[in-house]
Amino acid sequence: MNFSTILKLSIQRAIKNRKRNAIILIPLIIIIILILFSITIQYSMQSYVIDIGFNINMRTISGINYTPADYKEIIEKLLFINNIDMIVDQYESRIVAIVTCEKFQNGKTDGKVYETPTNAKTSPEVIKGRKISDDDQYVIIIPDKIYADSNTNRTFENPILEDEYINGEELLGKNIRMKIEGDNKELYKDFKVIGIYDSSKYDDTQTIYIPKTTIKLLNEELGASFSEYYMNVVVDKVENLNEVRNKLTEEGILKKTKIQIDASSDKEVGIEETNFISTTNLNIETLQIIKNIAFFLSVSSFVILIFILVATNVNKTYISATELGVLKIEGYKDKYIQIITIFENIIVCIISFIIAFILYKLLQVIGNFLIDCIIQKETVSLTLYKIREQLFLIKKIPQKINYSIVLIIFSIIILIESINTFFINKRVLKKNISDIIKI
Amino acid sequence: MSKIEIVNGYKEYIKNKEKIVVLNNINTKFEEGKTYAIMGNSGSGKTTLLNILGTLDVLTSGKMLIDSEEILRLKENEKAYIRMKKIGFIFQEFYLNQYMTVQENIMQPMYINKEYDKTAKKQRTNELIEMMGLSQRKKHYPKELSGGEQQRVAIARALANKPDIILADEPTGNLDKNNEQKIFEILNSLSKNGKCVIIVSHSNVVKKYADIILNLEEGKLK
Ligand SMILES: Nc1ncnc2c1ncn2[C@@H]1O[C@H](COP(=O)(O)OP(=O)(O)OP(=O)(O)O)[C@@H](O)[C@H]1O
Ligand SMILES: [Mg+2]
Repeated sequence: MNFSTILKLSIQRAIKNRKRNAIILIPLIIIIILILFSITIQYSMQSYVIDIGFNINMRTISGINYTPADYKEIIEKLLFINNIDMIVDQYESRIVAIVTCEKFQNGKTDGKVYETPTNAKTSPEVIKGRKISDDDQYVIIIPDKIYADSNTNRTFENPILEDEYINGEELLGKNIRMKIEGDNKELYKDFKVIGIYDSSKYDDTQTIYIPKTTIKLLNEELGASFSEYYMNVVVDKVENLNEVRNKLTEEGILKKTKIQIDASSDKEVGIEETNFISTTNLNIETLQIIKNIAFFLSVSSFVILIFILVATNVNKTYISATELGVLKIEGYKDKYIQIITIFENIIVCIISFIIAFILYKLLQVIGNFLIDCIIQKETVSLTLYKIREQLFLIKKIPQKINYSIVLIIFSIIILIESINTFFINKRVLKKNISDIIKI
Repeated sequence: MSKIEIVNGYKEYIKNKEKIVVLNNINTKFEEGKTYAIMGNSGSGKTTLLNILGTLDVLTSGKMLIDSEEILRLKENEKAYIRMKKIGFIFQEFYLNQYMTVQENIMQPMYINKEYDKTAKKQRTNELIEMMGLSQRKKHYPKELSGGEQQRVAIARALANKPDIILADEPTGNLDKNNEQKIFEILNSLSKNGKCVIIVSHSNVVKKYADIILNLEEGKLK
């Protein structure tokens, strides 16, 4: 028997006997959709937490106060704490003044940006150009889109229009001059644009990154006066935030526990007075919990899936035992009966996988459409308000799926199905044919 | 030369520690070109004997030869080859594949026969359909056919690989008088063409078509 004949017979069996194969097909489709969704949730949460975790503001611990007398001692203590990427004292930290971009090519002015001090370790990922290195001076990394006018009220009802952005990529490699306002002084400085970061990933169109050494020089030049001495610590990963915070408290460095809330990031969320980062920050643990629930769901669905595969297969084999007996009577060798039925079941698995995937995509589209509908509804009742707020957040989380995991699960399904079919068949086929046809 | 031969055939079943002797020291030969009718009371072991002849079951002791070849010594795959090449089976329940058409049912045994290429398979199928008078029913499914028609499909399927031995276990058990006669006629005509036809039946009608009538009583063939 050649391969094409075997395939032909398998396809014939898989497709023509819909009633019997529905036993496998339907539960398989349902459970695969469940698995796909739980993987999506898990993976989306995971990558979202990682993505927003890259944001320097998410990793910053502020509220470390010091006096010039104990500065050295604190710095020495900090050097012994692991997982710290950057220490920023008040001279190196964000200038209170707002930077206004001038002379953009398309005539737009007043791009209000906020500069964040950075070093080689905390430099954001760039989509073009390069990251900041430790001996850079007067260079900046800017977003691919810079919001041109910060005074416009931006909400979901008043979305940002495309032409209100300045294309950051056009500025790569060029010098831009910026006006830096101090308390009682203004400075004009040229900065070389060395890198562009993905504003959608960082959810930011107004943060620019400048080497902290440069910021220190600017602060000194502006003669900034500080009423209190404070410093910030940037942790390497959001996951380590609590650990480092606890250590700082243990060492007596951190007295007040507080996560820095960045007022610059309230855009796009559009919820009145709700700061995006604070929202996500508050919810980061919720996201982790959701992720864990999704993980639990996917693992348990997978166990159910295996159970279904085994149970339906036993059922199916005994239903069709007479057929197997007839094949034996006709002179089919056990080997061929095995291959044909295993192929048949694999085909059923493939069909259910394809159907499940299409349904999953469809449900996703419908789900997104429904969320959009609810969000865009102008009159939202008070009770719906909370839901709407949550939906904004859900909308922010891109629905991603890890295709390699999907592929692995698919392979495991096929493997289990094949092994399972083989052993059940074997049990049936080893009997006397006269007994098989009577099953 | 005899087609099938049983020497000292003995078959017993052990159920709940109780021994049931079904065939007790049977010695018999079946030849080509003849129709045999095996008759006997219910539970006398007719089906058991036929299954043994068709290698669907095995003797507890004794010898069974097909074309002088000792069957008990053969491996499973070799027995499968013999079933494909030499034996055609017909059952009371037809055992047709319900989700396959008449054509597909008849063609199924041909896929494992290397002698048939694609066109030969089609040709043989058409030939058998013609022979059984099922030309109008090619694309029909078994449940759309009458009992008699279904049994004719089963006969066509049994003949697919041109076997020399036809074994029929109560082939007319589910059929009316008219169809019964038709089926026996077909089976009898096969033996006229040189095949060895063995029919198990309760019906007395079979006597008219059989060359040799054997009675199975208390484990012995008479
Ligand atoms: N697998 C088995 N296990 C135990 N006993 C069996 C088995 N198969 C058949 N028997 C017994 O062997 C005896 C002969 O059975 P068999 O089916 O050959 O009878 P039969 O002559 O074909 O009867 P019928 O005319 O009713 O079809 C019966 O007593 C039956 O109970
Ligand atoms: Mg019987």
